[in-house]
Amino acid sequence: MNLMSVLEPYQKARALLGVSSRASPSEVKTAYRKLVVEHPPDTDPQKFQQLRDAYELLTDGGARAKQILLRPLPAIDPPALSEQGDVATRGATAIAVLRTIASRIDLDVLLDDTPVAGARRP
Amino acid sequence: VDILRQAASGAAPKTPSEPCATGVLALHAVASAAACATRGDVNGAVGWARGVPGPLRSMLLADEMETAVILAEETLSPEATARAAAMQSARAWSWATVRKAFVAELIDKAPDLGRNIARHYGMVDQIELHTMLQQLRKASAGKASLESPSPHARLNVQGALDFVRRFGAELFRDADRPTALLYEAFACIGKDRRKAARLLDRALAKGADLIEALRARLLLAMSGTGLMCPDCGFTHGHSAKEAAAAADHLAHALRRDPEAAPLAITAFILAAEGWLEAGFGSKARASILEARARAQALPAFGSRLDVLEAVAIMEGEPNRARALVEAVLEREPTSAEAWKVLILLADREGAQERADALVLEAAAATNDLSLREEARAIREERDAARSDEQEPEIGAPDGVARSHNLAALSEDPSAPIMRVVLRKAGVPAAVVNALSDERLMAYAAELNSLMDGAPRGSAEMKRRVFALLDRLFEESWKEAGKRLPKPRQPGSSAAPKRTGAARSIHGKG
Repeated sequence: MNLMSVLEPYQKARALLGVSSRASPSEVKTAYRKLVVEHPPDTDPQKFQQLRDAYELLTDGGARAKQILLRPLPAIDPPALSEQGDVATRGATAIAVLRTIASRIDLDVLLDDTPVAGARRP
Repeated sequence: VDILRQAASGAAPKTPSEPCATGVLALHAVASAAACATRGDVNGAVGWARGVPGPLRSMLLADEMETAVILAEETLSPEATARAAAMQSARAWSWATVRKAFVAELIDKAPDLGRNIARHYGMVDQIELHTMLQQLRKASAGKASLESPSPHARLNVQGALDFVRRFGAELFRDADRPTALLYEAFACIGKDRRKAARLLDRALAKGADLIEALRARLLLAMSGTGLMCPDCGFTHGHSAKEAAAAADHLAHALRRDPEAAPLAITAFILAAEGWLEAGFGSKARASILEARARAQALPAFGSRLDVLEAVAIMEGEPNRARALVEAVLEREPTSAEAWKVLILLADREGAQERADALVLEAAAATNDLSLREEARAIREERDAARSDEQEPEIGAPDGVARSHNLAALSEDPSAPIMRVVLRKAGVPAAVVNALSDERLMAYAAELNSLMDGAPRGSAEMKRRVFALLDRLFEESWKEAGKRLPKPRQPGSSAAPKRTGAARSIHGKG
């Protein structure tokens, strides 16, 4: 089971604040305050906002978790389109024709024939 | 047939031992042609295809095979283009897989010809698909030249959703198909519920991400009729049970990882809300218990769980429910949902005055819109009552207006008192004054008979009175309102109505 997709925001938030998954709310608060002193909003607004978001997520009473669970988009990476797939690749039509032959071939007709020498090699 | 299967993977078939049937040799030639084409050896493939004896060429689609392998050339010669165009009438064209592969390959090599043929046969999707794939390949190649080489074309989340919605998940490799099916299911939520459910089943059977699949199931259940409650996220009605079950399932999957505790608790809360909505109190309490067990280290969830539990036990244990929400309000005086439960408890006990007082108090303590609307309506109602007491033309007995006791009206049904009643129901004074005394007396008699048998001050009596007042409001307009300007529409800002929204934990009436 892969929980990474939905846990990712929490893992990022903990990494940003430097706390473990077992950290108590007071430990999270202490870590947040310490970092906010290092990155005050007037000198480092971007970092401060990131810290604020992380802190709010880790001390959230359910609203943020609900947003994560009810997000109407998949939280996992999209599937990759293979460049070597069946579509628009070298020889794809040949293979499709071959499959068609395989599905409609009449072996009796092919075998009921006069033996001859080997087929012409290109 | 084994020979053909090997050839499809690019393996050259074994040369048949001589002597053998012409048919077997022809089959070997076709298989060799396909194997060469698969490996990219176009000349070899064409040579093998041309070696098929005449009588068997049609049966083994040798001409089609030859055309197909010529398509693999980097640039199409005029001869190949002509053959490709002529293939439209070949027998192989009747096979959908051949047609799609042919058009795809032709668009790659001779875009104009390929698009013309596709358009001619109504294969517009194929044109769009291959245009998109070409763009992706180009983007992927560009990215690969800048970063590490990648064999795959990457889509972003929205791009992948659009892609699978349009072309389905079958275009993806086997390894990526479970995720592609999951994406297709997400794309169908809210549009085609049955298809989304089928896709989720397939995705799970193929080993797709369990949490994402369960999350999609929950979204699917909640999208029930396509309208989610903005407060709780559930579609109120028959799908609440389905959504509760899906949320429960998701919660049980999430609870296995301690790191996911906030998400597991939230899923249990969603489940409990759904069970309550569907009328399964015991299941709701079980979900609340599960959530509480995980919320010990997360005190932020405490108040939400207390309020939810209060709702769950409101019927059987109102005192305990009240104690729970009062404790929440001690900690968080701005908790609108705790106030609403407290108001609801007072309402259920028939303590209307206390419920109204709580609404006013809650509106002052919180920013909740429904509470503020309700409080405004109560204040306006009280102001109207006070002004009625001061209106000499109405002639209402002081005691009636001051006490607000509508039951007292039944003891003295008279035209002046009915004027007071209609004014309280929101009928403008001009309309009331235009009604005849006979009409007012008839209304009073009806009001009197309606209130018979219902205990005074009870919720039932109030319900009857207000139902009658609604009707009288309409009728009085019909009789007297034709000569007057149009009334304000219900819900206009100047005439707020008591909706009872604040008496619902979901903010709905």
